Amino acid sequence: MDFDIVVIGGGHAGCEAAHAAARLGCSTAMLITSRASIARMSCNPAVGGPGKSQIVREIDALGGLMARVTDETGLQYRTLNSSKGPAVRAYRVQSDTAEYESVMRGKLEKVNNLSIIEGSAVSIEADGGWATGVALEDGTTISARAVVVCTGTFLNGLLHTGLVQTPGGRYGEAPSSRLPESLKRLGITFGRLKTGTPPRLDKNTIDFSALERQEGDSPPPSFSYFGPAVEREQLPCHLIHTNHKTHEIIRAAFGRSPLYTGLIKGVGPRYCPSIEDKVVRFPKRVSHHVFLEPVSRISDEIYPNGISTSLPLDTQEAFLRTMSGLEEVRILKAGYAVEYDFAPPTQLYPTLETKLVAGLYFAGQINGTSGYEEAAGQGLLAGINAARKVKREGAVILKRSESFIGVMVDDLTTLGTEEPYRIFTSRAEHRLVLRQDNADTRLCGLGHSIGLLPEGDYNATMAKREKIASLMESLKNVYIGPIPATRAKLESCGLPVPEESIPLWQYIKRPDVSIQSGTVFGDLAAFSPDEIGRAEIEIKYEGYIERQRRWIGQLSRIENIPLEENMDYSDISGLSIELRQKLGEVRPLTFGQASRIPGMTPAALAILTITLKTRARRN
Amino acid sequence: MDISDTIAAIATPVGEGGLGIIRVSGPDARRVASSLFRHSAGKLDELQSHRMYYGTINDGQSAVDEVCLTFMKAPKSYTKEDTVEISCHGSPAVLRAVLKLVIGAGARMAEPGEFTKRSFLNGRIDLSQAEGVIDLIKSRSEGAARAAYNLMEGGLSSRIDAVRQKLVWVQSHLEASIDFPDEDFQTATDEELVQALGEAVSRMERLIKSYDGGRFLKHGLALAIIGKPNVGKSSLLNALLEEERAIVTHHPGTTRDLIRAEAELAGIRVELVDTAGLNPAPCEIEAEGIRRSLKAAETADAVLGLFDGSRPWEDADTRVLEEMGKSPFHIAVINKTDLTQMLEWPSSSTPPVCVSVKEGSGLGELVSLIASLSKNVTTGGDDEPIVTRLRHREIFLRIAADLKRAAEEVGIGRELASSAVWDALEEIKRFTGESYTEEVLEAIFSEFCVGK
Repeated sequence: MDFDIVVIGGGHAGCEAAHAAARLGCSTAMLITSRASIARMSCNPAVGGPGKSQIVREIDALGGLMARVTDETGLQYRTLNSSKGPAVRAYRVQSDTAEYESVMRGKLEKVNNLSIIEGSAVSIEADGGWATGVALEDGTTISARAVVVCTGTFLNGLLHTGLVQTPGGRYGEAPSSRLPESLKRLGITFGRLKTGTPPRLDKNTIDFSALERQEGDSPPPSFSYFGPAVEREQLPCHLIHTNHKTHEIIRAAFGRSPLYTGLIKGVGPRYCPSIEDKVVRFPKRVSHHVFLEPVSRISDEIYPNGISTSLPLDTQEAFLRTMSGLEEVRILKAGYAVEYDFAPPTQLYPTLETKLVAGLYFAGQINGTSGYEEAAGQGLLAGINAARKVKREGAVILKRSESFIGVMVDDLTTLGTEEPYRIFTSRAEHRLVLRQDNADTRLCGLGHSIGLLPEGDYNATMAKREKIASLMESLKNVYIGPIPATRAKLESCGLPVPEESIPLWQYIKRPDVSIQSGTVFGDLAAFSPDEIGRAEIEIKYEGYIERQRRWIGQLSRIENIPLEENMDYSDISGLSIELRQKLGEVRPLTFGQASRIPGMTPAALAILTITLKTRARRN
Repeated sequence: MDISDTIAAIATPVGEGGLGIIRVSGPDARRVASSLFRHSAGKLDELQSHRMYYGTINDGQSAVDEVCLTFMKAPKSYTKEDTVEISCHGSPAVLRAVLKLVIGAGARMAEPGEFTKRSFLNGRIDLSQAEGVIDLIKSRSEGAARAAYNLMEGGLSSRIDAVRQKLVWVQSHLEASIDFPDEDFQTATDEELVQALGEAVSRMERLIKSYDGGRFLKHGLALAIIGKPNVGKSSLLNALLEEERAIVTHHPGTTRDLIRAEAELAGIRVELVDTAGLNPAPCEIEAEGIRRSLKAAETADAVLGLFDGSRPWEDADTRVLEEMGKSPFHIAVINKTDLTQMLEWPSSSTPPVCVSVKEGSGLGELVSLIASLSKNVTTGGDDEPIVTRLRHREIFLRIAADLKRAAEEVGIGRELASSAVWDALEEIKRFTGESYTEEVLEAIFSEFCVGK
């Protein structure tokens, strides 16, 4: 078999990578153990959240799939941080996991150039520092010009429930031990991480009658800029609480906890602790939240969010039953922790190509990240770059100042990671500019120019941008003042009366004012609520946005000074040996990336600048 | 500027002296020194750190000088690099000869301030401490030296670090509530955040305010003495100087032009300006003198208005009171308390200090009042650092503005408050030099002399 590109794995990274590569015109094979496990949500049944939501919409703007599939398959749709400003607002959708899988599979099956092949990869073939294909367990070999590895937690995966260990990539699926061996032979090094998941509960054994309900938003928000508005029946989630009895049972079982007996060596995520970890780290808390989330309309499974655990099964059942509503609960699948190999991502360029093997790309949990959205964002970028490499086109690198995907990839390839990496809005220094509302105008141009975003979607975005601009312009020229007629109108809709005549533009900047159709703002029938909302954000936050843009401009002076990727750092005197090693390892592509390497000091940067200048002069 | 090579300079002032010191810093410092140095027991191959060696510096044929040599191994030295200090005899010719040998052995002439710049770039001191070093070298009064020493020792840095820690606490709570909106995370309330920001603001404002006096500490205080003729302005000047600088006669209007003299009063460097008396009916020469007096009062940092206690209040005194009041820092003084007091002080004005220059009474009180112009405007106690540099004041003003903005925005949008706090934290990095531009470094280190 011969393809341009092979994508190993069909999780959230693999789906985006395979879709992008095929859509960009490369013959692409997605290699997966079973077609049925494409786009599996191995842990929580939700997409979105702060930072993650931005990534999902960036994927959409570039022409990826995650936003559309999420819109089509949700059970509940919410906007988080709605009480805070628009820059940090985020969507979160509870997904029907079964539907998500089937809709995603259906979309992939319709993509030209894309073949889904069932099989297990056991080795990456490479020749002269170039990836040449993938060898399968059944002895066949697929030759290829580029390979994208999206193997999630399957590399030497080991599941823990109590003191029982089972080799596995996730519940009921075998791990891969030969593939990491093959990567090691190519020089890739590995570390070990851990993550966990809670037990799944039988809906029929839970008494929901007395539980606090959490409903979705109406109307539901849509992730995708381009799909139809979401019109789906929503399901509620329910909120329950742990109590002191729950914590007591958990504490009593520490002797049989793989975490506290030292069986687990991998590093887990601090921001997503297991329930046993919470009990230890917050001894004064008498109660923790647990959200009961439906997994699918067609299944009885309930996902209890907030109590991931690797305690023994009998303990899991015992502590669950201490909670109101769960007195008679039955566990369908035990909670477990999974340890797995990851390849520290400083081994990658910001294109997600490995530095050691050309044409070999990594995306998703193999890079030490956690989260479907983080994986999908990397998969998309790796798929795009693999296709461009095959077609001999220039690499695509996303900047920190233009996308959350860019922030994530820069963090990973420059800093590496010590624990499963999750995106946060606070990781983005340009957060007020990188909002989820404007991902389309930030990235549509790129998505369209590389050929991934369809013409129609691009044109629609450009038209929308024009409309927002014209609305903003019109608000500059209309004045509002404390004349009696205006006063009456304003007071009738609860809006403040300005003390003197000012442009509407300035009036809208007040925190207690928002644009509403009719009244003083004129006839806005020509504009969609989204367009009005975006004009309002741009006006209200003009000062802040301006400040961040200025800052980005200042930074870009040094940020974009290129560094040769093969630059020799070993003989730069004046730099510490440790820093020389770090630079040689990261091999930053720009001065900006170099400046973010941990341990970099003003002195070291000064030396680097001088060395660059003298070397440039010599050449 | 290259900071990976070895630099050398004469570290002591130009001219003859008991000792003169050559300083060498960089990776080759030890090799350079031991190639020139002869110990009484022969050539030294391995200099031990922080030990003083007695011997000679040789030019290959004969000894150039008899010296004491100290080697300080990195990182335990001023620059955090290998450093050698050679104490020679304090002759300019000897020092030049030894420096020439050191350069010939592989070192390069240091630029002004380069040793301190390396100390900063190598992370031993922050930028504000480097500024303290310059200020200490240049300090011309005990008070200025104390403030500079405090800056150099990190007194100001540690206050700013405390502010930074408070801001990091605020920001972590702002960020946690944004990034974990429904994850059962308890963050500080708006009120707690506003309070913490308010505390940081008042800390910054105290520091900003201290600059009013701090700049006097550093640059000295120009104090103009004004008054009508023959109230004893020149006598007061002489008394404060403890020397007969100005000519004193019984004739009103003896001082026709400005007389400037420098004194150190209670640790503060003060430039005293004696002026022509404000005579309501002057002759032509006097008129020019008075014009200059008024100009001097206008440009001085502080104005001392002097009145004659033995004469009744006159219109000319009212004028002095008015001119004096134009300066934000002023002191009213009544002289000649040794005579019968006829002056009726206008009760609405600031209470005056009473002195008799002739008998020397009340001068101590006056001196401490002058000194307090630069000390009392700093609101804190004695351990409170004083801001003496305009660069620091400007940064602190921006931080205070950012934090006030943050406090207003906590309730409107935590992401906006966070952005303002972030701006403040960036300013702190500019203060410490964690972020800098070449222009800023250039401006600061060009103030230095060679050898420091």
